[in-house]
Amino acid sequence: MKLRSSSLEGKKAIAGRFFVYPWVVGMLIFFAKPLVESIIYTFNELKITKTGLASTFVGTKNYMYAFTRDPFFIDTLIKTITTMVLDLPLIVLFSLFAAVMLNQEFKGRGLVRSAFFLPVIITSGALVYVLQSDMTSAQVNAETVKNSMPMVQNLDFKQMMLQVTNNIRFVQPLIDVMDRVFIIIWKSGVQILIFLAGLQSISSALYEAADVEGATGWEKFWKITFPMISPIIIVNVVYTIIDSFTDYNNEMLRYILNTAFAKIQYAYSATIAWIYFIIVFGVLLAIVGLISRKVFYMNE
Amino acid sequence: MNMNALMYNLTSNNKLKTFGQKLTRSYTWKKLGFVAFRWILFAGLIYVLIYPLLYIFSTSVKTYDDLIDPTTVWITKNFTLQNIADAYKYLGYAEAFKNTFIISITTSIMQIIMCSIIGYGFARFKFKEKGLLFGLIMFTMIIPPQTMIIPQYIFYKDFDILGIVSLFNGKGINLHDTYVPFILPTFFGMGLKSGLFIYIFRQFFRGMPQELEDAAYIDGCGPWRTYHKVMLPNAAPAILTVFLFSFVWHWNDVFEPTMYLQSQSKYTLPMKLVGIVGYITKGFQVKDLLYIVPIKYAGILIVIAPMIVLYAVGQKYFVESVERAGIVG
Repeated sequence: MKLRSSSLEGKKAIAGRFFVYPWVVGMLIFFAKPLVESIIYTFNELKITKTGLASTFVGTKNYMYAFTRDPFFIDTLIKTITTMVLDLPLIVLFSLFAAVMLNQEFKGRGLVRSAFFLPVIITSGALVYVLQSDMTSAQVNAETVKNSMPMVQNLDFKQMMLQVTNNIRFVQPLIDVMDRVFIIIWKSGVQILIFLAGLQSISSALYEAADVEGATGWEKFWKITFPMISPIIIVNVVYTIIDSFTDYNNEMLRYILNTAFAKIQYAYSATIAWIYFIIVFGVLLAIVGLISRKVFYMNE
Repeated sequence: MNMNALMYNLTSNNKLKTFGQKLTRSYTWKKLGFVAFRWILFAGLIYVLIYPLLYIFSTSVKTYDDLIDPTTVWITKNFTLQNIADAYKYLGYAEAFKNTFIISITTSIMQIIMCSIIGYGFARFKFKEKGLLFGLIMFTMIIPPQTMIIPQYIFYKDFDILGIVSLFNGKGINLHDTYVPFILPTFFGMGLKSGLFIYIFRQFFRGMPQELEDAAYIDGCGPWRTYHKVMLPNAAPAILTVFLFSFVWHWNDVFEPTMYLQSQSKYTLPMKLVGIVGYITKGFQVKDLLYIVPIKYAGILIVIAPMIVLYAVGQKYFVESVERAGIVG
């Protein structure tokens, strides 16, 4: 009876393990251990003493505090999640549209593609943070400052609209939408790339067959492009959610870091980070579950 | 003749075709309209994308007089490079640049090496736990590092592998303020966004023809040699993609350096940018903020300049490498 490992399959399996197991080791050290420790911390109260950190078990006190007594947490949470859920379809739809436009052959295509990808290169958390703390814009409207690059807040335009319509309840949402458009275009860089790559992978034989049958451009889009690209829509949805969730100038994130390092409440910071993560993960699963039903897989 | 007429009437696109043909008599108009629409759309979008850059650039070269002058909006009356020189001085640019560069390059190289090895393992070998492990990789991408800041912070404060170091020392070494916290995880494929790179390499290696590998095996290469001599040299698009993405992400990252670096001399460029107003004012209360604004914007300009240069040089590789690496489809 031959040993499992001396067949070719067996040998290859062992070799494969050699390739992959360094990652497993790394994962255990750098991921699993901190993860578990972090969960444990949320049930404790951490204090800094002379010999390091001392933790005392307090059960679910941190969680209770987060939900019932913290003035900022629920507010920031709702605001962040709403922003994310509102931006998500806009970003995905916009990047799909842009990718379809960019996929056509025209002069200067390379240049336009580069322009679209530029925000990814230069957006660092530091950049947006510095721009947002620009004093001149903070005087305008503290609310919307956090949602857009301040220099694009069209101050004149807003004044003009106010003078014309004399109705701030009408003007304000419009201005919000305009600011949001800017952010959406800036956040779409990577998604456009992913969609472009996906569009290129649709075989042109399908389009040719459609042309023979006499399909219009609109029909071609809805019957060929859209179904073939629907798996990639899911990839982009997941990526967008994760991206906006770990964005450095995300309010919630700022609050978590603040609690941890400025207010030195380590356990509480871990608690809110976990609650935030679980909620976002729930949102992610819900959205992906909803969309997955409509996705068309070519090979199944 | 009758048969033809019958068939012609039965095909459903009939009516559409004649109506469409009527439209296409004005074929050139339609095409022109579409092209115009496209260009107007792109002009608008490109304006939105480039606007911040232009604004930053134009504000950086303005003097104080220009800022209070209501007639200059984009083009300065007095072009000055003094702001840029000031920003260079206040940021400690040369040193911070060196720091950022060291971090970005070492992590990127390690990421390429390790992620390609791991990706190859997932792509070409079958072993039982494969699906589970790959799912775990995806999972590590979803969990943000912010949930683990405290344990990581403590971990690096008293770094101690398996108790070996504390044999010498009593407790572990304090690895804060070094570059080790950035580089060490990449040795194991757990660096920043490593899951994505492993995924990219896996997709790429999956797309390579099986015959290449079989030929290598027949010629007597073991798995490591196959990887090393045969698959890797062909992996240029994927390596380039991963390198560019990793380099840019590490360069722009502010979160991890803020956690681990404490002494000013080790700060990275983006970190210094966050605190730039403090450097300029040195803690004093400044009454008129317009003195600071051009220097701040000049600082932003010189911090993003290396990335823009890199992008200008390699933009073709950025945009098209994702497609060539065969990530999708």
